[in-house]
Order: sequence, then structure tokens, then C-alpha cells
Amino acid sequence: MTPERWQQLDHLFHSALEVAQEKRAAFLREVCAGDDSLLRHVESLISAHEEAGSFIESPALEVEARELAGETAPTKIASGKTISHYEIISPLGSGGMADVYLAQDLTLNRRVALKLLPEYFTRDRDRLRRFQQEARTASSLNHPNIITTYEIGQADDRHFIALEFIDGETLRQNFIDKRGHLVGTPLRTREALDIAIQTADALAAAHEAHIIHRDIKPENIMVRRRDGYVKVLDFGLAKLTEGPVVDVEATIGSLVQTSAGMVMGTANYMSPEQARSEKVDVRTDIWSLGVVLYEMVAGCVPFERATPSEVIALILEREPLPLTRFARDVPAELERIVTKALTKDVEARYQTTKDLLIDLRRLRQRLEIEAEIQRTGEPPDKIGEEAPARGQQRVVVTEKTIAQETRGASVVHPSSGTEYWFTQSKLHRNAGIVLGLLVTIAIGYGIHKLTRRGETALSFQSAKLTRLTTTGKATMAAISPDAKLVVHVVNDGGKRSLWTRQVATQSNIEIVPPAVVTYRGLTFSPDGNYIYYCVSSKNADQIAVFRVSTFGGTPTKLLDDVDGDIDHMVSATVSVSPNGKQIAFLRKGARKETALMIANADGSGERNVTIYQPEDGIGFPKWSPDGRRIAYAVLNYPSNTTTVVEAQVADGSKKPLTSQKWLRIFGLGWLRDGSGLLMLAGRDKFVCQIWHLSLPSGEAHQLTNDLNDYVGMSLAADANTLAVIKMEKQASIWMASNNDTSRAHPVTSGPKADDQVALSPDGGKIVFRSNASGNSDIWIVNADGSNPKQLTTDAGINVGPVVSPDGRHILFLSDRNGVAHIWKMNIEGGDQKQLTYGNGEQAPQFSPDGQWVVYSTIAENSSVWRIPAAGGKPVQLTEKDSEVPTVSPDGKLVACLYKDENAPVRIALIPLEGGRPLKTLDYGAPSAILRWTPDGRAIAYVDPRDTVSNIVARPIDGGAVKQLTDFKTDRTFSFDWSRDGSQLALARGTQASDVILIKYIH
Amino acid sequence: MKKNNDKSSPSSSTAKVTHLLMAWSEGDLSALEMLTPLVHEELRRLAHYYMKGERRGHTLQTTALVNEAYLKLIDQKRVKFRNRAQFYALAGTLMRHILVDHARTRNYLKRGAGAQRVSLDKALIVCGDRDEGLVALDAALIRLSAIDARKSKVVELRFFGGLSVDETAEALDLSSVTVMREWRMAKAWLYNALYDT
Repeated sequence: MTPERWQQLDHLFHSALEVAQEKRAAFLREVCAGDDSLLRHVESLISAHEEAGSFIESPALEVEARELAGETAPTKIASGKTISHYEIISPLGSGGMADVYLAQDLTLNRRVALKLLPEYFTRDRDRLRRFQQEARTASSLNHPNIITTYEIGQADDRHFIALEFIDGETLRQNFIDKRGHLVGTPLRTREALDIAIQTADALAAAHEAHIIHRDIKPENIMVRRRDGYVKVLDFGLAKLTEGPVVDVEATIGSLVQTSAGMVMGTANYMSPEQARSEKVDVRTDIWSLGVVLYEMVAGCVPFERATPSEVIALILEREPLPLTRFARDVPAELERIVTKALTKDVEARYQTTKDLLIDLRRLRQRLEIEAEIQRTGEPPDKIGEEAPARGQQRVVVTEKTIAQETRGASVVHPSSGTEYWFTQSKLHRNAGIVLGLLVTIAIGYGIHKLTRRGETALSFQSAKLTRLTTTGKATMAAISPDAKLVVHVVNDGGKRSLWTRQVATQSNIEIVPPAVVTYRGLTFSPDGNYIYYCVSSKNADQIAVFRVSTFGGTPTKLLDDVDGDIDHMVSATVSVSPNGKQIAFLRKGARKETALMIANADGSGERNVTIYQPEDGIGFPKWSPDGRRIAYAVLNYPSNTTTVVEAQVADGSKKPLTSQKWLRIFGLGWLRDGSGLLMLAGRDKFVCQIWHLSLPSGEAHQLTNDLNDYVGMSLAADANTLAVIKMEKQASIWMASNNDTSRAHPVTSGPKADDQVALSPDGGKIVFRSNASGNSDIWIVNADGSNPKQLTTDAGINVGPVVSPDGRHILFLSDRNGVAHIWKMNIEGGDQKQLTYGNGEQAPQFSPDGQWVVYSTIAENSSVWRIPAAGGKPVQLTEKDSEVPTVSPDGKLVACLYKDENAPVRIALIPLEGGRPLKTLDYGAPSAILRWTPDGRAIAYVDPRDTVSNIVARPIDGGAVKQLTDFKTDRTFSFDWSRDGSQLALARGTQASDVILIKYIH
Repeated sequence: MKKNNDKSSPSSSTAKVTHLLMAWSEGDLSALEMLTPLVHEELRRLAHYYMKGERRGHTLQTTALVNEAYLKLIDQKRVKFRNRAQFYALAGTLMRHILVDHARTRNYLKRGAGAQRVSLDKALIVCGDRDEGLVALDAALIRLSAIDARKSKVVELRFFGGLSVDETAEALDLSSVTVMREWRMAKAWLYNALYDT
């Protein structure tokens, strides 16, 4: 074909395609004008075009991989065939590198696993070298938990390795097969520990021989059927694929470093340094084992996304959800071990596998002791001074099982009443028995396990918990240095007052009368004579610092205009220097930068210690016992993590106190000897726990491990006693017709919190959030209370349900992937899909036509967005700080809370398409869910501050607020109407928050 | 809204591959030898996914997987290559070379072993003694290049190199519209060349 002819063909082909199909034949006949050959050519190309479909549309790599997949299935070698002196029995599987067969060793008459390098690769010298090197490496390791290599050989161009045959399953198969589905159900803690210990044992031996596995994952951990013995497979594979080991002899200690470069393996188990293609050493195996251990306990890997690159992003940036999210009885010590193995900073991780192994073994022994005690001893019927003695007796009983134990064991005992004891008996380490048996008594109200380790532990040996208040109205507390007094805020119907309570006598004195104010921080002066507190009046951002005598009197205002809320959490605590002469506080500048400041105790002589730019929020300043430093929490907004930093008072120089990061920190307190801090911190937004940060090591471990919520409360600590606030909510679902609350009746009941409700448009079904399962889940029930059904069962927190206008779908929030996103499912709970993928979203609502979902983001400056209900690209509707949108019944307007610079929060009405507010209305309550009234004339909400609360409606025409319900007791947490407004579903109940005192006894 | 979907995250072997590609472009022929096993590894890894997927009856997000693999092998965005167009072109040629070679060896072994022919991509099944799949396509592409080198190059970059239309356009200094036109015609022609006997 001449180039001219080809060009003509090209041109005609495209021109013809532009002509409608039915006219094409005529068009071609016309333009080809009798050139039949040309016509045939074009026509055949066009029909090829129409037939070709997906031809070459998938990339070649995929095509070839699929071809390969079609033939690499391990069925290639028929049974009965012999390779060298091995007779093939059956295929066992196919790894990343080779196919494995079960074979009979005809010489030694034993079964072996025969690993064959596919013939195809034999000519690939590089691969062959790796294959053989792997075998040599593995065979150099002689350990009961490492698979034994019998022979490395070659027969007729087939290269093979004969390995010990293990009759069992890999941990991966274990997850899949036994449990019947792909994503594993968690193993029991004991089982998981056993496997982790044996794996760590194998790794420790390998690491000692300067061999790094680099590809630890469930596929490479085999469990023998007969006895549960663990065998680690594929040793040295990853290392050898990476090229030569760099001068092993010259490396220091047990660390083996190799050249940076390619790392193979599943992304899920990759360490951050592997993910960054950096040099790896033994600590990379420690990470991977941490992931496996996590997966065994949680039933899912800590970092999971659809594609490897997304997984890698998680590995590098995110902290995994705590294990308690998946299994409630996870020992705090196990959580600590996993956290330490999964520390991104390689220097803060376990440094040797031996250390990890020791911790795992200790924990297993501790659990064995617990089990032993529960089996052999009746639970103590008394609590108090007898407990240590009892602990000792138990230890004697179980002495043989703990002969190697050196410290730390925790035991759970039931108890009654409102006091709980943590005791620890003292035994001698050299006697070869338990150094510390930590007897944990409890559950019920709160802290149910307090575990600790000798070298990092606090200097307490037992702890007593007391519920100090029972009114359910305490919202903040601080304890005096001598631990004899507790000052606390009492919230009664939105009016807050300050009370001093004597711990011993229970006497309670009001020292600041009730007022509509918000307390932002509370602390005693070091001599215990004064209370310093931060307070803001209703709706005002301005916070003032006051001082009042411990037993009342007229408060003195010391400072105006202090700040320091981080991420909308109360954090503007004031701290008094140990000599009582200075106070530390926070203040925001014009550019939103936050300064840590100090002043004289009377408020004079202010000066900056250090300044943080707007990307960081700081809070909870706490003066160190030596008076030279101030510790505080720093929330870095871009990375959305919080950590603890200290600044020198003299020169403002800053130093992080730990490399560990939390999602949020809600309180800090120094231990009196300066050896560390106690903190209230959450790895996620929902469950806040007590942590101990040890100094100078910076090592943090969790002291409490339960599902209770200590969120947003202040923490005060002296050396032995700390006061925290614990929140407890009880709520159930009610139905009322025609807003007639006198005839409202409960639909659900029981001691649980059913506190968020949505109603199907026809009023027939109620969808609600409940903690009845022990986790926060979405449930559905018929309006008459029949047929309750749990719709979500994952380990995340699932909240905030709404029903679609057609009644067929439910939107809800779930943090199952680590951050709260909007999810969608059908009304039966099926087909659960993530709808939004931002940095955190909340308050989803459907538009009345069901086409859109409107929601707000949970960022520092939250904004309102909408996204197609079927999924798609989100569109931002508001620029300014705004949240909790709701769409009007006619679908034209969105009402949301809206904050303009320094003005108070108002309700704004904006078009569904977005833009500036068309109108704003007074609001006057803290953030709460808004809903349009069914008639579209008003915005309804409940003031969450009221302890007895009713739905109020604010007319959009600017009229006065009207009360819609008339309940005389209990809070209304949430509500929803049927489409015609005749049915109203309510979530109602009580929310108690009380001061809990934790006293440690020497 | 920041999507947590950073495709440019460093993936395991990317740095090495990119380095190799650059070396190869500068005349270091041993780079090809070193790169080949990496592509094979990737192939095998993907194949593994498909096998697992088929056994469990899962619909895998294969596009995502393949994209990952390409990204790993030819991560154009992470390197400030002094001539990106040249880099793309190289990547396409190289992938073609390696993949066709792989397919040729595989076909040979398959016939040698007398195994049943298995092809998952129906579009690439050919009959008789002719070479299959990628090998046949490669041969056809050689014929096409004799007639229209540009169309052949477009196919090489898109099909073998896994490049998008825009990247192909950049590599060949063409408009995206032109690339689409060339692709359409080349695809029809190749389809005929393979199936219209």
C-alpha cells in the first residue's frame, strides 16, 4: 500500500465514523467513487472497529499476567511424576516465587514439600540465583519454629528445594477456611499470643544470625495441625531479592543493614521504612509481626485500603485503631505491645525481637496466672486490706507456672459497690517468683484493667477508685495537692456553679454561685488555698481567668482575653507555678497564632514563653514540678495528630516529650516527682483513656482500657491521686403522634443508650444508634417496637443515622476506616458503602428528592458540602465556618449553623446550590443537629445543655422560638418526623457525669 | 476535601525501576537485563491476584491492580526526568520488549509441555500454529510500523507502556485528539490483522 493510499484510507475511516451508521454505506460508496478495493478496505476496518470491543484496551501487562494466571495454577505436574528421588503426590500451592508440591522422598521414605522453580524462570539467572540463595539462607537456620530445608537440587533443568512437610495451614488459610470467610474472625488472645511468641522466637534466632525475613505475613506462618506448632516459611526470601547484604560483619550489634532498594511483599505488612524504600533492619520484621499480631486479635489488618499505594499512605501517616475497638477484653498490655511494635519511628519501636518476645511471654504468663486464679480460687468476697494477702496466696498456688516470671500480672476480680481496688503484692524477683502481681478488680463503672510493667510503671502499688459525686452533673474537676479536696463544676440546667468537696467527710460547699457560663479550666494553687479557673460567658469566645479562695468568697479576675481551645475542645486551662508566684495560660493572636504565656499570680507582668503558628493548636499547659518547664499538648492540624511538648520557661526552647502521637489529648498532669505525666488521650475521637507518659524515655502506655468515655474532661494529678470525670448516658427511643408528648410512649428500653433516631418517611420504621451490642451500632425497629435488628456489626463506631426519602436507604457515620466518613446502606443493613472520603465528615442529610446528601466536614473550619446520593464528586456549599446542614422540605434551602468571624453562631439559610446566606436567624445554643419542621416554616433543634430538654422551633420568618414538646423530665438527645409530620420519634434519657477519684496506695 | 488517594506514594520497587530506566536511556544496556526480572515479578504477582480472584469468585478491581503495577514499573511523576517524553517512549518500548519476550517463552514452553492452551483474554485467542497473544500482536505491530510508524508507536505506548492518552500525546508531541484518532484506526487494523485471515 502506498503512503498516499494509506492516508486516504485513514481519512475515509474517520470521516465514515462521523457519519451516522445508517447513512455510512451510501456515504462510502459515494466517496470511494467506484474504487472497490478502497471501499472494501474501509468497510473491513469499520467492521473491525465495531467488533474490536475491548481488544488491546487492557494493558499488555494485564493480558500477559492473565495468560500466566491461566497456567500457573498448581496443577502442572501430574501426581506420580518423579523429580530426582521425589515422587509428586499433589500440589500444595503457589507462592510468589515458586510452586510447591507434596512429594514422597523415595530414598528416605518420608513426605516432603517440594518447592519448584517454574521451568519458565530457569533461564532467568537472577531468579535462579535468588532461589538458591534463599534455600541456603533458610537451611543455615536451625530452629524448631523455622521450616527445615532437606535438600537443594536440580534434575533435568528443574531446580528444586526439598523442605520439611508441615501438615497444617498457613495463618492466612486458618483465617479463611476454618472460619468460613475471607476476612478473619479474631483468634482468642491466648491463641494469638502463642502464635506470635513462636514466630518471634523464630525471628529472634534469625536476627541473631543476621538474617532478616522481610516478608512476615500470615501466608508465611504455618500452624501444624497436630500440635499447633508454628513454622515460619520463606526465610530470607525478601532479603535475597533485595540484593547483597552490605557488610554484615561490620554492622553494630544485632542490626543487619542492607542496601536500600526493592522490597517485595504485600503492602499490608510493610513497615514504614520498607514503604519508603529505605534501608531496613531487624526492626522491619518486628513491625510486620506487629501487623500479624494485630490482625490475629482484631480480625483485620491495621492498614487496609483498596490499592497498595493507599495502604502505604496509611502505613506512613495513620495510627491504627486501638485493638479494644475489635475485642473488648484485649489486655491493655497487649495493646501496648502491639502499639510499640507498630511505632512508625523505628527508633521508638522495639529495638530487638528479644525484647518483644520477652514482653509477649510475660503477658502470656500473666494471663495464665489469671486463668489459674479464676479456676482455683473463689473470688474474694471482701475488698480492702485483705486483697494483697489473697494475691500472695494465689501466687503460691500457681508458682510452678510462673517460675520464669519476673514481673507484672493482672487478675480480674468481681466486686460490688462503687469502689474498686488495684493491688499489687510484693515478692522477690530473685526468688524466681512474681515480682509484681497486679490484682485488678473491677469493671462496672470504669477502669477495668490497669496493667503496667516494672521499668516504666508508676510508683503505685495499688489503686482505689471512688465515685465521688453521684448527682450526674459534675462536668469538670480538680484535686488539691494534698488530695483532701476536690473542686468541681456542677451543671444544673445550663447554669454552672463551682463546689468544693472534702474527700474524707463528703461535705460539699458551693464557692461560686450558678451562672450561665462555661468553665474552661480548673486548678488549685500549690498551697491549696486558692482555686484558679477559666470561665467564658454564654456565646462569648472571651475567656477570663479568676482566682477564688478554696472555701468561697469573692472571685478576683486576674486576666481577660485568654484562649486556647484546640479543635473546639476545652483546653484553656490555667496552670500555677510550683512556688505559686506565676500562672501559665494561652492566648490567640490576630493571625490565629497561639502564644503560651506566663504572668504573675495577680495577672500582672504578662510575657510570651513561646508562640505557635495557626497550623498548630496548643492546650492544657502544665507547669512542671521543678518550675522550669511547662508541658502542653500540641495538635498539628495538617497531620491531625496531637503530642506532648515542653517549653523551658526561661528561654522558650521547646522539646517534644514523646515521639508517640494521639488523635487528641484531653488533659495532662505531672507526676509530683517529675518522672512523667498522666494524660487523658484518645487514639480516636470517641474513646478517651488514661495514659502514663514516662520521662525521659517518652514511652507512653495506656492505664485504662475500656469503652467508657472520659472525653473532654480535665484531669488533675498529684503523685498519688487523680480525679477524672466519667460520662454515662442512658437513652431510649420514644414515639409520639402529632407532637402530643403527653401520649408519647417508649419503643426501646433497657440500660443502654439509644440516643440517635431517624424515622422512615411513612413513620413505620425507626432507625437508631445504640450501644446495646457493646459497640456503637445502627439498629432498626418497627414503630411498634417489634423486630429490633442490628444493622452494623463492624468494629468501628457507627452513629448518626438518617433514612432516605424513599425509605430504602440509610446514611450513617462510621469510623471503621479510622476517620468518621459518611456511609450508605440499604434499609436491611446490606450493601454498606463509603460515600465520602475526606478528612472526616458529619451530619449527613438527604435532599427531599433523594438525589443529594448534604453534610459538613469536621475540620478546624468546618464547611457544608453536598455529594450525589449515588456517590460522586463533593461540592462545597459554604466558605465560612459552618456545620450541621438540613435541607428544607421543598428542597430549595439548606439551613446550617454558621459563624461569621467574631459574631455568635447563627442559623443560616443558603441555597441548595451553595453560596452566601440568604438570611440568618438567632441561635443561642451549642452545636446540635438541626431539622426543618415538616411544614418547612421553622428550624427545630434541642439545646444539648439542658438536663431537661424539649424540641424548640425557630421560625424562619424571624418569629419567636416556640417549644414543640413538653417533657418535664429527661433530656431529648435526638428526634425525627415522618414526612407528613404526624409521627415524631425521639431519643430521650439521662446523661450522668460524675467525678471519679483514683487513689494509688503505696 | 483532600482525598486520601495519593497515587504518587512511593511504592516498593519504584525508585529502583526509575533508576534503571534512566540508566538504560543513557545507554547502559545492562539495565534491561536488570529490569526484566522486576517486570516478571510484577507479572507473577498480578497473575497471582487473578488466580486467587478466580478461585474465590471475587470480582477484583483489576484495573487498579494493573495501574499499580505500571506505576511501580514506570512511575513517571516521581522523577524529574529531563525529557519526560523520551522517558515515556522508552518505557513503552522496554515494556513491549520484556512482555513479548515473556509471552514468547511462555508459548514455547506451553507447546513444549503439550499443555492445553489457556487464554483468558478472548480477544487474543488465535488459531493454528501461529503465535499467540502478545507475540502475534507484536508481529502485527511490526507490520503496522512499516506502513504507519506513528500508529504503531501509539499502540506501543498505550498498550505495552500502559500510558494514558494524554501521556502518549506528550511522548509523541501530538494532540490528544490525534492520539485517539491514531489509536482507533490502529486498533481496527490490528484486529483485522490478527483475526481476519
